[in-house]
Amino acid sequence: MKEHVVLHKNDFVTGDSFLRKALIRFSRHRLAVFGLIMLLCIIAGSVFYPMKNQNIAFDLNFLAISQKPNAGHWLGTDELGRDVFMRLLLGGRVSLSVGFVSVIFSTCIGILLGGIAGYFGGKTDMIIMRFTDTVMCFPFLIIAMILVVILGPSLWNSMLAIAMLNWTSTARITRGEILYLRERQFIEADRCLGIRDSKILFSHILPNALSPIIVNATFNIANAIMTEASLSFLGLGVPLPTPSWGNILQDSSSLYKLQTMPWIWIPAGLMIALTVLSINFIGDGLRDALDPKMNL
Amino acid sequence: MRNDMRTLVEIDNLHVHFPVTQGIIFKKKINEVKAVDGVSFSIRQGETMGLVGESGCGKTTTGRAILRLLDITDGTITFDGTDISKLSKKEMLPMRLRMQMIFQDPYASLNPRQSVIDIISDPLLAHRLIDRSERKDRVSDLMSMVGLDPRFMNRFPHEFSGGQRQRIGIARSLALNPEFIVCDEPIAALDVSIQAQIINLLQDLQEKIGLTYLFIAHDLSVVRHISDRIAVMYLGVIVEIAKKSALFSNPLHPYTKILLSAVPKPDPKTERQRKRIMLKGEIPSPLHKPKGCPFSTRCPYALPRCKDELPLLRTFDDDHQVACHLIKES
Amino acid sequence: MEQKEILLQVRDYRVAFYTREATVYAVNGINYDLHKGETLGIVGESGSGKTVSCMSMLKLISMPPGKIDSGSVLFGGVDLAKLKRDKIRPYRGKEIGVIFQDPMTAFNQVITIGEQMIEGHMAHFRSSRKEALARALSLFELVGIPSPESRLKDYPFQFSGGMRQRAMIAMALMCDPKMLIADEPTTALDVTIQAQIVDLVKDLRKQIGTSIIWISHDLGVVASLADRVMVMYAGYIIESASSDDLYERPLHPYTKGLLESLPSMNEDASKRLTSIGGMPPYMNKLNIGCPFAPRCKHVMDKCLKENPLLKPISADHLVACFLM
Repeated sequence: MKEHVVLHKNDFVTGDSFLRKALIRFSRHRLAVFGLIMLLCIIAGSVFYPMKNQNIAFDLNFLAISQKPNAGHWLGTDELGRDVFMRLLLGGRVSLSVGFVSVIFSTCIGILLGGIAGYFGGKTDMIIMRFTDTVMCFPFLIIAMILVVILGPSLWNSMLAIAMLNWTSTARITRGEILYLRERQFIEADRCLGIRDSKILFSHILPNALSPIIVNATFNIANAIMTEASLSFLGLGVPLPTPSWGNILQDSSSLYKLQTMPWIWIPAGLMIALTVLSINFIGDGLRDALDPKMNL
Repeated sequence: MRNDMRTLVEIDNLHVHFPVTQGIIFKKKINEVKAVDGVSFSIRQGETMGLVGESGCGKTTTGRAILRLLDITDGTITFDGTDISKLSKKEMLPMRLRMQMIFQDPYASLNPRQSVIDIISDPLLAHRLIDRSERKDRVSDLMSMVGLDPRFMNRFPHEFSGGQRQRIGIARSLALNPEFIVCDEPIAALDVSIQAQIINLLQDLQEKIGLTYLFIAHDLSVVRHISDRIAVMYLGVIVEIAKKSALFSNPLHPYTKILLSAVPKPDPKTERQRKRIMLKGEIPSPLHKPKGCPFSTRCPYALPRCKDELPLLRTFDDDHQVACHLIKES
Repeated sequence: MEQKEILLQVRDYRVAFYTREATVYAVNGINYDLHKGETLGIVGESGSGKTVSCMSMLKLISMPPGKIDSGSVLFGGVDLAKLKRDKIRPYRGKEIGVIFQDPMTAFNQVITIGEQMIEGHMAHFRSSRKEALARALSLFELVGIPSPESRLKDYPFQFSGGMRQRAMIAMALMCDPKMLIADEPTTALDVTIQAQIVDLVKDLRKQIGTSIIWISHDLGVVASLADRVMVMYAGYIIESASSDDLYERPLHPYTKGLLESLPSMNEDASKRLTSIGGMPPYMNKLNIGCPFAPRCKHVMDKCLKENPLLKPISADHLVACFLM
């Protein structure tokens, strides 16, 4: 019994490592790759382009009011003569960070609460899920407003407010997945082998529940970007004159601007749509890439 | 098998009931499913105890209850002198090293996101039996023991066939070096040509390590092949326990007789001549159990007494126990 | 079989699944006849092509990825393999009835069994509701469902497993088909219920005289039912014989191995089972040699280079093996 089979490193028949396989699978997913490139472009543009000459997004310039797109101002200027292109990229910084940071927060809260509810079940489950339902019933904007009024309007506080109210869908999805997974035989096998509950939950159940959570998170990013816009509109989001895609859109909601100055709002709307679409594609690609059952 | 062998597992009057509830917040118990309803038997060290019955008879529930994977309603389970039926989750941990399970479905019982080395070494690390540096050696030992090539330890379950996956499952349950293994229909999900391989492996391992098995199955021919003694379950109770030779040559309980006659034989000529005892109807729902003998609703020989009075397991010659009013002591 | 009329003639039939990742060759050129009133057992392991070979005739597999690559399936003078999807519909249910493995998933859960049964009859025969219901009632009686009238109004979940399978058989017989395809109809059932269903089918066969193709992995069940048995492996028919002959005198090493690997119910079990080593091949490429060669005990050089054809050994016993 005790004769070891001596194995050398190159004896293992592994093909490729899991990560490499995941990468290959992701790269086969054309839409996901397109989404990733798109998103990277948007991020890179927002981060690097405004590094110099930022002030054209803030300084009033009465010599160039409401200009149509031209060589000097690629996307024209607004009614105060500010460069729309620069404002758009700067707005990307705000909107993207609100989207990502608040979703990271809300997903963590959602996984934790949904995970506990689903794994332990019974009374714990009931209490957490009724609480989740209650939060879902809150009129979203009013609560967000109260939170922001208490905390004061700023970028960080709007992220926090959005995260505090956005975790419910993640919690419900996580719970559902876990309820299904914990009855699976391999989890029963773990229990039979005497593996700790926390280890079962975090390293055996959660990785299997990850794909719907990731997909849901991508939707939540879109949600968060839009919510930030509403908050900004009410003066409770990112304070003006700092631009965000949301407040650019809200700013041009008058009929006059909608009809006569489409170069202000179309790009912002397009950016939101493109970003959300790219993130959704990436989510889709990730789901396939992270699933070891998918063939190469 | 000698009779004087040490008893390893003793199950006494085991009950497992599942409540049927109504309402979401204030769950009201409106009924209960008596999945296992007073089961007693013992398993001797080194033997293979077969547990057969149709789906819904409670055989799998019994197996899981013995390993404390389910809450027990009543009764005791004694493992090597220790009553484990009331141990807490934590107190149960050291016992888990000694009793393990092999699952039915090799596709569902392995975590699809873990590589084989993780699957097999997880229990070892959880019980701190090895440290990470010994992992590879232990896993390759276990893999060669069950006839798998250790070079494949970094692969994922879906890269293996059904039979190989079942071997991975077996290696995992052997990792903790248990004495007693509950095999829950370990070959039912496998192809015919692979079943024999797994049965042979289980028998080889038993010989090599001296394992004790509780072999749960619905396939009588397989149980007959592997078991020393066989218990037949019907609707939550055991209706007959005997040595395999006695059970097959001289089945006493009407249900056992019918079960034996229902097994199709791969031989058209005998099949054509065989007179089957046909069983009327189907197994009643465990929610509405007959009052007397659970088999009385389908039994071709049922007496009025059978409908009212539950027959108890009585011992007949040489280790043969039957629960039936019709059988007279010899 | 004494010169009985041929109902179904399958020639050089090939089915493969084409996905982006791989091509899987499920059925690789099979030839057989089904006679009127005959029960043909098709035995094989999962992935042997036994189910695909039958279900694809009625286009009951998803196409794409599945595709009939070549061959013909002559049924009453019509080549089913060449029919378009919408032209195959009259054959499904009406000419050829199908019994599925899992009656739980084969029925629609939210429509009563009676409604589901009469649907096909009304569509195929343009019969009235009343006629169809009368037919359903008589079939429920035939398959031995107690209190048939009230049970027709029940939903599938109100039936137990065995009763559901009886209802499934009744439904397959609704349009009085010339042929039945039964895909592992007893696999999901318990032994005692399985015995009931097998008995029922034997009775029905006597009464109605339909031809049956009975697909199973269980050599035991097939033995009690089939007149003739075909063994499939990796998409090929490797042996075909009358059931008496096949079980008494299996010739192909695979058939022999299968029969030997079954634990015996007769003699006292010997210590070890003879098992076939290795595992069935994953058919993502067509083999050059005999598909069973890698697992065969009697493998020769020739077996690796050439695929043996199905050849008659005696009048009604065909084997694809170079040993014969």
